[in-house]
Amino acid sequence: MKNNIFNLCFLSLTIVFTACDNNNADLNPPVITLNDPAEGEILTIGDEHGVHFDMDLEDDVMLSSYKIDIHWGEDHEHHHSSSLLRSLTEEGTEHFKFQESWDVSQTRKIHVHHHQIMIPRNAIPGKYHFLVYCLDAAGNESMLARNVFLSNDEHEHEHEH
Amino acid sequence: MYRYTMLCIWMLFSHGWVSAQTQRADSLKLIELSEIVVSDSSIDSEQRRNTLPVEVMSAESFRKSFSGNLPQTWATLPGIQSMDIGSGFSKPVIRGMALNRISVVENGIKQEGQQWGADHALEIDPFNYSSANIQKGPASLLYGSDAMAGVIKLNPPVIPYADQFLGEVIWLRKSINASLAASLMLGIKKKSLFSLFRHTEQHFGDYRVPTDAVVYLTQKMPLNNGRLKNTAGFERNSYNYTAFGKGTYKIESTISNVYQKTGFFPGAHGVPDSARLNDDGNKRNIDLPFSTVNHFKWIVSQQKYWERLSIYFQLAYQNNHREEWSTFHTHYDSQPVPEIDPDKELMFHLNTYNANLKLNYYASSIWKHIAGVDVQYQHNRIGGYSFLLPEYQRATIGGFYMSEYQVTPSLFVGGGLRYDSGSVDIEPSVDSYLEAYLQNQAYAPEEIERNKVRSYEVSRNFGDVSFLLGVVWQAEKHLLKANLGKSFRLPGAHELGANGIHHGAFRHEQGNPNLRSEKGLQADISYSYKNKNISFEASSFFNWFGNYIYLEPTGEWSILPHAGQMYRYTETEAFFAGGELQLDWNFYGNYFYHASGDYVYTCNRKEKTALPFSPPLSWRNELSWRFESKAITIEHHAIANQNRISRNEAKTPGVNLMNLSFSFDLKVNPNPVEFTLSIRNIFDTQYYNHLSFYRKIQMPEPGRNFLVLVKVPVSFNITNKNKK
Repeated sequence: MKNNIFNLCFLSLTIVFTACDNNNADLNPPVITLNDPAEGEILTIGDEHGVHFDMDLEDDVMLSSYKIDIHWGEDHEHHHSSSLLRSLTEEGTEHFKFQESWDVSQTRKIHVHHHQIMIPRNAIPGKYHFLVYCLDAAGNESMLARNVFLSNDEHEHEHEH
Repeated sequence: MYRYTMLCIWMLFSHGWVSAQTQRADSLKLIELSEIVVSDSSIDSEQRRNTLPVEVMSAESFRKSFSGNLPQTWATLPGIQSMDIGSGFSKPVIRGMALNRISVVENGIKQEGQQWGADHALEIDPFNYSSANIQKGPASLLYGSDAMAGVIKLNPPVIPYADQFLGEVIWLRKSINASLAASLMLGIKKKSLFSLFRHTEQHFGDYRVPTDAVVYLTQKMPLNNGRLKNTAGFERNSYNYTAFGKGTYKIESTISNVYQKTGFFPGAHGVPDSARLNDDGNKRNIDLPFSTVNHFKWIVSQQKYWERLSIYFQLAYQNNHREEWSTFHTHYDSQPVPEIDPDKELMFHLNTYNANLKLNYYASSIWKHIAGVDVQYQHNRIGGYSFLLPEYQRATIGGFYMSEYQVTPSLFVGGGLRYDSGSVDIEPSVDSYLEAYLQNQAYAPEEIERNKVRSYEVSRNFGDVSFLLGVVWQAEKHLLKANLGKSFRLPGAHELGANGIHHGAFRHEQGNPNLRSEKGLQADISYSYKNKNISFEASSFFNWFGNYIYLEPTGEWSILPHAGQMYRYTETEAFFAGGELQLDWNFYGNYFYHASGDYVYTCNRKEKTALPFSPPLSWRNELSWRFESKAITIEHHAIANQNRISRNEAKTPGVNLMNLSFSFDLKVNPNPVEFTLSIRNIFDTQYYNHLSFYRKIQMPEPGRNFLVLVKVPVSFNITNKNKK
């Protein structure tokens, strides 16, 4: 009797503990290798050629899409009032914002190179966060973050950061 | 300030009232030994009369493994884990379930804070501890919605038998974050009145981890002297427990206020930026970003006994006020800096009112009936320049009946049925700044219309049955328990109506107003054996959920700036299976061996993966020498790799940890002074906790930590002539 109960328990445990292990489940996120822009890179405001964007994406199964998000990144360590007031007082200028996604499905590996990010002339110079997100077909997500600087003058390299 | 004033007013009022009562009252002593004395025999009787597996942590074993934090101390028990949230605060986990799936009950009332947040700590004073019973398994029957995985019951202080003044000073020092804590307790027992006051202060500095850098979002973030900048904080708690009895009537009041303020590691807030990690030269300051929480609780319980009947009635009020502060930042140009509290990012103000009525009827010495009604009303208000959780009202009413029957001296059967009805009303909210941003970004009008709404008006009613049927079979040294139960949980307001980026989680979390209440069918079986030198316990459980609610990555990009894909609360079929083993063996003279281990296998049937925060296999070996009040314990804690992960979770490698503790009492008349010294993580091993909220930013767990705990209890009998 005791043996039967034990066997039954053992059998049901074996079934339970293997019920969910689908070895084919893809849990590995895609790999983002962002070649350009680099950390701390200066991007020129109003550059007609657009931002030089160069990246490699790779997934073990299948890629899906990637997204670029660029937004003002100074508020975290500067006095909010000064940076915000400046944006409100300098007429015609505003914080540069960029959010766009691209489809890269049906492939496992892709080299991305484009100049589609245009920084308009009225963008406020300063530090920005440059984020790249990538999703694979299963929904695994990777993210990469860089700090970049927007400048009116390509040769301006002086930053207090 | 208001709360302190109320506290003072109440104390004055209650004392005036109580002394008036005592003058009229006779001096009948209130003795309820079965409830107040935590000894082996009462633990045994609790085990025999509770069909669910119960772990009891007495004050003595609590002292031995105390780490300054309740959940981490409980986590030394098999089947209990702690979810660490940095800064030395933690949340409890029972058999792999946490947050809104377990209940923490203090003096009969469920703690109601913002427990849905994986980075929100438990707001209970860790120094105000007498004992706790942890029930593993479906406890909805007695405790209602949320107690599906179990309940942690914190017991009220022990009332001394003799009339006396009593007091206690506890002092704790931790090296890991230069923590210094002190707790002062003063109490009086005079005839039928007992009152106890406690005040605790705990200050800690920046946490030290055994690494000089953390890697976050592929960027290496340097740490100064291995310290996590701005993880300092402090805790300030006050507590009063007053009991008064006259004949078969007893009234108890518990008032507590817990305040915690802790800094957030700035490297883990938003985009990694090593500039924010520059040493500020001060390891004790709390800079932005930080969080504060204040939890005020007042419970009044009344009991009346007759020959066969007892009535238990409770009223409680709780106020949980949580704020998260971070330098004002917005992604929307039209959003102005708020004039008041410009850096207050999020604020939640939750009021909870409870009324519980419970009747115990002893039909005979072997048959007991219990029936009760619980009513709860909550309203949550919000503030801050960011949006995460909507305002809501929630009301629940539940009625239950259960019966306990001693069939034969060795067979005990217990079970019952409960019905709960609840309603949730969520206030709508439209974000005009987001609307302006989306217009500015030239989104299509219908997309703007859909996304500008931060929360939709939701009005939902829920009704659910829960039950439990269990047996306890006992034959001399053997004890066998088996249970079958159904538990349920109302979806939380965050699951129905959240919509925003949770600062700590960096992801867009969205509620789903159509969720049903979560239902679980649970079965468990446990066996224990006990003789003079050996006790052994094994338990296993299986919990199945037809609609387990979890945050599902949707694969759709969020429209909000600074967010990746959208995570939406979704239902899935899921199960939890696992078990615990425990062995205590007095193998030679004063030498003892203790081993315990637990494992939980979780399965999201839809995704065919594990569920988030699945505890890895863990095993503890403890060797100790005990003589009178002296004890030396060396503990080896092995944690296995956790390779079973949910989507977008990282695998966590296993680790072997060594801990050492000494405890002894110094005989100083009339009461001994208790000393406990311990060294945790002796070899300063770098490791990760899979259940840590900071796991995803590769933040390691604390390194070597020296703890010194000194407890000085004092008591003076008031009328020594009559006593002893």
